[in-house]
Amino acid sequence: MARWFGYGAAGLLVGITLLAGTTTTLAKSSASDPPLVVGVDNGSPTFSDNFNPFAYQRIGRLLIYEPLAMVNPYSGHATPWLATHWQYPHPKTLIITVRNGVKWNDGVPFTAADVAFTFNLLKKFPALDSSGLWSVLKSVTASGDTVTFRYSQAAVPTLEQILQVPIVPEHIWSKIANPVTYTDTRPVGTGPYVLKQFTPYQYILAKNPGYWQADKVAVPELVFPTLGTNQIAQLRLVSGQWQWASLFIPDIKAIYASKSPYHQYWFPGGAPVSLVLNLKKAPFSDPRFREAVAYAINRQAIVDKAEFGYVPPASQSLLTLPAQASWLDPSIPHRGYIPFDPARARAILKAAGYRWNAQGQLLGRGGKVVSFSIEIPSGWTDWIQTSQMIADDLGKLGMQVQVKTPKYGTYASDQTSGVFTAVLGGAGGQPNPYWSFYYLLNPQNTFGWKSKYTTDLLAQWDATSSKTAQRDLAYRLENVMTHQFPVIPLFYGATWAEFSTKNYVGWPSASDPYTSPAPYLQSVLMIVTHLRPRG
Amino acid sequence: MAKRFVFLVFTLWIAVTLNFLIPRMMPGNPAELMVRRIVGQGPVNPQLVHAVEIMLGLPVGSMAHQYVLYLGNMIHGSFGVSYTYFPYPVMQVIGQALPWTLALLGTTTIVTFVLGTALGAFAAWRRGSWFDTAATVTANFTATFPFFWIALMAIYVLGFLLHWFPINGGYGAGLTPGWNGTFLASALDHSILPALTIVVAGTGGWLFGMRNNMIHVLGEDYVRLAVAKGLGGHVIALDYGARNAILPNITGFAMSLGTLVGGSILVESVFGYPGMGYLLYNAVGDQDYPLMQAIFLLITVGTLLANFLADLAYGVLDPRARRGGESS
Repeated sequence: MARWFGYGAAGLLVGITLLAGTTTTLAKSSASDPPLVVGVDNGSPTFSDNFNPFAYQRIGRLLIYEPLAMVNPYSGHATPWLATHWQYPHPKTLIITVRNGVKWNDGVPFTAADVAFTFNLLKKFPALDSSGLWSVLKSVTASGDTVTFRYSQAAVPTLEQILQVPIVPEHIWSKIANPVTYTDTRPVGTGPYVLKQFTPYQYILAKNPGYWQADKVAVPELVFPTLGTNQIAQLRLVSGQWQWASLFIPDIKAIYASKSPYHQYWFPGGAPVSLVLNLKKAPFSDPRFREAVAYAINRQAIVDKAEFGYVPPASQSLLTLPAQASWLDPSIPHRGYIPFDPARARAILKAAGYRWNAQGQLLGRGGKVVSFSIEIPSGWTDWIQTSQMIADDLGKLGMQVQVKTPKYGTYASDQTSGVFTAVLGGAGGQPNPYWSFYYLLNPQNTFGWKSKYTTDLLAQWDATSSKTAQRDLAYRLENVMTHQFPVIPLFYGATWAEFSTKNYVGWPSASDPYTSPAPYLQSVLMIVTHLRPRG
Repeated sequence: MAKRFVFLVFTLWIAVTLNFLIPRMMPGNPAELMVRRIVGQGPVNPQLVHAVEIMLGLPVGSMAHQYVLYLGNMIHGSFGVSYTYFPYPVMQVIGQALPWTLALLGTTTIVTFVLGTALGAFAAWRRGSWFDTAATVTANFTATFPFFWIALMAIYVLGFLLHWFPINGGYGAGLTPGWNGTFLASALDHSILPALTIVVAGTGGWLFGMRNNMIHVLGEDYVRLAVAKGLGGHVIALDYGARNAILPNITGFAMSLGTLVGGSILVESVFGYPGMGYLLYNAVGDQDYPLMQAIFLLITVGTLLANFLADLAYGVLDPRARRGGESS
């Protein structure tokens, strides 16, 4: 992705930076607590003035508009936010109780009517309904402190999606003719920050004094500068000008962490990057063949070389471990981690009736040499290296594997139309494992997975709000993953997050993983209410 | 003249049509790219793609239908809404970027042209002197060095280490563009480093062109005749030598003025300069069709216009071209 662009050129400055040591430049200092400079919003090259919570523009919107609950991006655990309580009295009815005493930053009280208004706005303008909620909802109505969601068909797993919709004030948004193209340059939200100043190269958010948990907000101001090129962004982070960023940095210990004891980072693993084979084509249609491939790949070597050791290998269960460990079927051996075992891979192929020719090449069922190519978007260097290592590993089993690097557009459209043979792609990684399984195995999938069994399991999950029943369904789906190998997870895709503990502490970390450390997710609300001045 | 006008319109139509076709032949769709930026490397939620498609209002209907609609919009100067800077109209986005490019690249193009041509003429006139050697060696060095390397070194040494100049951007963070002293001073301060880099990297090319042409011209018989007649050094150097040697450089200059409206992708992206080059770079990366089309059209019109002006300038500078133009 973008983080890999200019990688070669970056090397030069990285080298110089190593010699240069640190130069400290602070935005300003005063008797009160200093601002926090966040290098994450990519003005390209300048910011467009748009804080519309439904447009994917200024990241600062996430600190102004709040959702009903904070859903942990890894474990799926939901912390009450604008909602205090929710329940399904029936799989087709969801009742949410909203928080009392919350005010919009213009002083108007927040009510259940605002919540109902927001969801009905998504109905009226489908462009805002990014989770397709109204394909299953029938009505959303407010009464007193509660909002009632009625479904046209049971879809209990939509709970997490409903809880994450940013809520907008009815007294303002009801007057907006077209909320899709509304630029919202003076955002009115319930969040901990208000927009203090906007200029094309920088915007500043100031603490909202009337915030409903104002006592938990320690940072008086958040400054969002534009990023510039990768090289300049890295200079600014390493020199301490930025105290929070999301940059890919090769050899982060030497380049960043060694510069100051305050320079901290945490790269938690998210959606598993997986080898996706086209199941419509032989020999990929054979689960035993896929199983052999899973054992033939040396994931640890890939993680160490292609991913700089930043992320761990992924479990075949499709769950994001360890965060989703509570969903994992304990009877699955090694928690679903497939060991590197080429001898076993060979034995599986042999037992399934595959043969090799005199040159040691693996033959398919029809007697043809097994030969295929893996597609990765050009420029995604870590994925390209991963594919080359997979090609080597599979080559030792007698397969002929090439690596193709088309432009991203071709890569994407090949998958949408299902014309590929093999690709690397993201799979899983959703807060609620239901969606990890659904996005992969739903009947509209384009990689050729056909199974009435998994479709039925997903439908049963739609219709149950019982935690035990949901867990049982997850166990079954995990067993499909570990026995049928629809896709082969390789490693957990990293989230890049660097932060400074110089002025503020309380960041999420491996030892205190209360949420994702990424500065571009809704979870920033959780982080700014945890940060406190260094004592 | 009528012939030339018909040719101009025909060229424009070809350009406009290519402009319509090329972006649509790129694989993938803009909504998928936007969703990729939202979700990173994770799986893509089809509902999100659908919502983004509705939001951007992606072109619908047959290609023929889209083409007719597109031509109509072109005539009205309506380029639609940018995808990258959604929901701001393309014309507004361009209106903000164009002045920056014109100011930075316009000034530096003229400066590099005048400087390079003058130095080249002088070097040719004094060929073999210490000045010629020094100028040729330096120009060789700066013209062949990768531009981004010069730029990054300038940023790192002059900006980051010495703090003489800001390292990035068109003006200071926290300022809003406007006609006031603080803003103009900041804009000027921010433009020095990119301008310096362009001048250092760009002068060499003009210098070489001018020097080589001029040496060639100075070997012509009419120059020898002028020397024999006893004309002064100034007259020979400027009226006989430089005036004839500058013609190819004028064409080059006109072309670079024509493509100027497209900005310089390299300069602007390295320095984070808010001009047309950066805009074009992003538009292509994000498959922002409306923005791409408008910028390409501007470049086309600019080039055609510059060619036209170069023709006129030729007439003034070279009487042969004027006569040739009238007789055909």
